[in-house]
Amino acid sequence: MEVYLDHAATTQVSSRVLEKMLPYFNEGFGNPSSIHQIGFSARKAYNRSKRQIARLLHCDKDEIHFTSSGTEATNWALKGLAYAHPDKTEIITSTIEHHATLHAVDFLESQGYTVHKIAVDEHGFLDLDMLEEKLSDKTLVVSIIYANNEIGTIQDIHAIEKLCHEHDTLLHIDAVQATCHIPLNLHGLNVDLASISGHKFHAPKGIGLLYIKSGITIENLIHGGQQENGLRSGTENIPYIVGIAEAIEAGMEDIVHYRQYLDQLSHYFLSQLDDANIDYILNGPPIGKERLPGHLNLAFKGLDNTDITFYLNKAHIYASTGSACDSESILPSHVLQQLKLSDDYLNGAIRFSMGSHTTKEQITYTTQELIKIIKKLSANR
Amino acid sequence: MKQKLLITKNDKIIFDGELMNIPIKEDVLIKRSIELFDDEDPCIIHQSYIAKEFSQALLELFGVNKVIQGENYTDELYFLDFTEIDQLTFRLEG
Repeated sequence: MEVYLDHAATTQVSSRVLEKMLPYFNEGFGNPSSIHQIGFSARKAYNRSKRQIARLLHCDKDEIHFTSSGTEATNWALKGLAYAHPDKTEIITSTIEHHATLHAVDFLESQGYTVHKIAVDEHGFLDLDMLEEKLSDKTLVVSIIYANNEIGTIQDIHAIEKLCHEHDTLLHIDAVQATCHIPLNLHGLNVDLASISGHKFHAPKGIGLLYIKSGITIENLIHGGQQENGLRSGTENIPYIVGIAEAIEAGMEDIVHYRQYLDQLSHYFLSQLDDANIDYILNGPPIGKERLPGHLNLAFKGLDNTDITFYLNKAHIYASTGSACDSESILPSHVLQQLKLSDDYLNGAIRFSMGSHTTKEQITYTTQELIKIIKKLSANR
Repeated sequence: MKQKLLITKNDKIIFDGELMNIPIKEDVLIKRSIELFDDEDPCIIHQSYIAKEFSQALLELFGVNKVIQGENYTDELYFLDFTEIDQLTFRLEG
C-alpha cells in the first residue's frame, strides 16, 4: 500500500482541474491582450476565472491578482506595500510564519525597516497583547499566517483584524494553507491582502494569487505590460488560471464534509497510537475548529524524525519532518522551536497531512507501521 | 539509528559512535545521490537519507548477532570508508 500524507507540502492536480486546463494549452492558447478571436477566447477564460474565484472567496473580481506562487504573492504584499508607503517604517509579523514571510521581512529589515516578530503560545496562537503593544502609527503592515503549515494552528483573524484597524494598520494574511481547507470569506474577514497558492489544493504548482482590497495602494515588483490591473506584468498563464479557479470551486464545494471526514480520521489516527501506549505530543491545538482538518504534527519522545520518516518511506508512507538544512546540519523546524517543546520531543516531530482521498484503511496501515517503527527505534535508543 | 557501533582492527578501536555516523566513501555517496536525486552535490538532508540507507544495510547484516566479522562481508561493506575491511570486527552495543 502507498500512503501520501504530505498534502500540506503539495497536492496532485485533480482530474477535474486537469480536464479544465488542458484545452488552454493548445486550442485556447491565445494571449488575452490580443485583439482577435483567439485572444478574445483567452480573455474570456481569464475573466470567467476571476469572477469564479471572486464569488467563491467573497471578494470583487478586480481584487484578485494572479502570481506565480504563494511566495511571490507574499513577497509582493510586503515589499509592494513598503515601496508604496515609505513613511511607514515598522512591520509586525509572528515568529511562526512561513519562510516566504520571514525572509521577506528580514530583507526589509536589512533595508532599514524595524521588524517586530510576535511570540506565540504553546499551541501556536499569537500573543494579542504583544501585538497591540507593538502597533503604532509607524506600522506599515501586520502579516500573519492564517493557518500554520507546520502545526495547523488557525489564528483568530477577526481579533487580529480588529486590532489592526483600530490602529489604522494594514493586515496581510498568508492564506496559503487555509484556502480550500477551511472556509475563506475575504470581505467577511476584512483583511487588506491575502496570499494564496494553487498547489496546496489540487491546482498545479506555478500559480498563486494576491488579494488586494479595493483602495489599497501597492507598488509593482514586476514591471512591463498592463496585466493584473497594471500591477503585475507578464502574459497571463491562462491554463493555470483556469486550473486554480476550478480547484477553488472543487475545494469550496466540499468543505464542510472535508472537515468532518478528516477530523474523524485524525481522531482515529491518534486513538491507534493511544491504544499502543505510544509516547507522543500533538503539536498545535487539539483536533477541532482551531486546527486544520487532517493535519497532525506529532512529536515522539527521544527519537529522531529523520529516522522515522526514513522507515516510513521504506514502508511507502510519505510524511514530512519540517526540518530545514543549512550547509552543515539539519535544524529543527523554526515553528516547533517557538512552541518551547522540550529537547526530548523537538527532534522527533513528524507532520502527517491528509487529503480528501485519504482512507481509513490507509490510516490503519500507517499507524500499524508507525507503531512498529517507534517501538523499534525506542528499543535501540 | 542511534545504536552504538564499535569497529576494531586487531583489537584497536577505529570507530566508536552511532551507527548513523559510520564513514561512507565519498564516491559511493555521490553515486547514490545521483541515482536517487540526480544530484552530485546533495544537501545535508539528502546526504543524511543516503547515510541511513547504508547504516540500515549494515544493521541488517547483524541479524540476531551482536558481532560480525568483516572478512565474511567484504562485498556487502564496499561502501565503508575503511581499508582492509576483511580485518575489521563490528560490534553493536546495547
